[in-house]
Amino acid sequence: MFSARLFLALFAAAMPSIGVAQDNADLGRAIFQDRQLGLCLLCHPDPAASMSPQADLAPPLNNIGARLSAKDIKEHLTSPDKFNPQTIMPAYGRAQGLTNVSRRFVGRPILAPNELDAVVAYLSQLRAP
Amino acid sequence: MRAAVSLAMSLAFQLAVSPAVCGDRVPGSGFMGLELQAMQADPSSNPASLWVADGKTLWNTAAGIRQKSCADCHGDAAVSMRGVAARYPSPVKGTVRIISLHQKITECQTFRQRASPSEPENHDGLALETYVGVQSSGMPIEPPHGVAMDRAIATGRRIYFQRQGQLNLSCAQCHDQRAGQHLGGAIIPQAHPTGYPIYRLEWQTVGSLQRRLRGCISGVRAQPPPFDAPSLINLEVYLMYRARGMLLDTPAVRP
Repeated sequence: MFSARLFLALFAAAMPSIGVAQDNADLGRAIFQDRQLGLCLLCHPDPAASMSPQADLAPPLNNIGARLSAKDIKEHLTSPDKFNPQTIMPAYGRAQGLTNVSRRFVGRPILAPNELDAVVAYLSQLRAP
Repeated sequence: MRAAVSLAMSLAFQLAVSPAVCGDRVPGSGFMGLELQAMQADPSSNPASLWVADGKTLWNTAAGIRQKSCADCHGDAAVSMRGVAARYPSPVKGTVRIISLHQKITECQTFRQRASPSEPENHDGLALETYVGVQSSGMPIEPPHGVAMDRAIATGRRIYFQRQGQLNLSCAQCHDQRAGQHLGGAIIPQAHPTGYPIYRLEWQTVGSLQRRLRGCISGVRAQPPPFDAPSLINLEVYLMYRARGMLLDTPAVRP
């Protein structure tokens, strides 16, 4: 978990100044696909892979960038229960008001703000043909 | 003709290993492929058979200051232990304290043999528990009744439906509402603990229900209770109550 985060920090530090937006989206994709960091693939199928079996607890996101604005995607990530009170999706960015959080994670959100923005940048690019 | 025979044989084989579905409740083996079901059903390919064999040896081996074996008091396990695993966790006689089968074994070790009790997940302890468990294989789960059990079921149910951890998930959200769907690439079972201790391929060893529960609790990034904590016992009691009437298939193999 921590080594994954360190790897991604190094990855981000190594980004050239040109094409920063694309690099941020690439970082977001790495976080999205990391099952210890973004955790997205535990519930969503991977838009970048077709092998099975894939998670099917949450909808595919292949076209999410065409359906929602970056602002709306971010709101879905930070306040998923606003759109569906029954959702099992955790509120990314939330660190308070939770029950019996592991000592390793207490007081910390699943993703830091810059990681959240990178995932939003990646998801905004997903526009299935 | 040959095709008909081979079809009949394959049907007979599937029936022989088919999991014991109970109404709309399906044991963990019902979510596994035929290959894994066959591995569980055949003692010569079920890896947990090694634990059963070790447990049988331990059952008959004198231990502790008193140099007594389990068999010295309980005799033949096939007779005396038949049905026991189907009733645990159970209240200690004359009290409201509920203990797991593992704790019952450690009490015998401590007070009857005057030996050191097996630590949780210790090989010998698991071997004994698997050997005791296998004596009830094929029998329906029958939790005892009483006020203490009712209280434990209620507490366990509350824990089962409580969202917890950084991921804010309850047991019920996956194992009741999404059983049969895929978490990552893995099928979510209905959480009926019919086959413990189990040989889990992911662990590459035999482990207890409490190990499995602690794994799930860590998975949602909640703080797992220590082994034999009351909350784990209560959860165990609720799950066995929820699986009442289903057939034990110890020693089970699970992915």
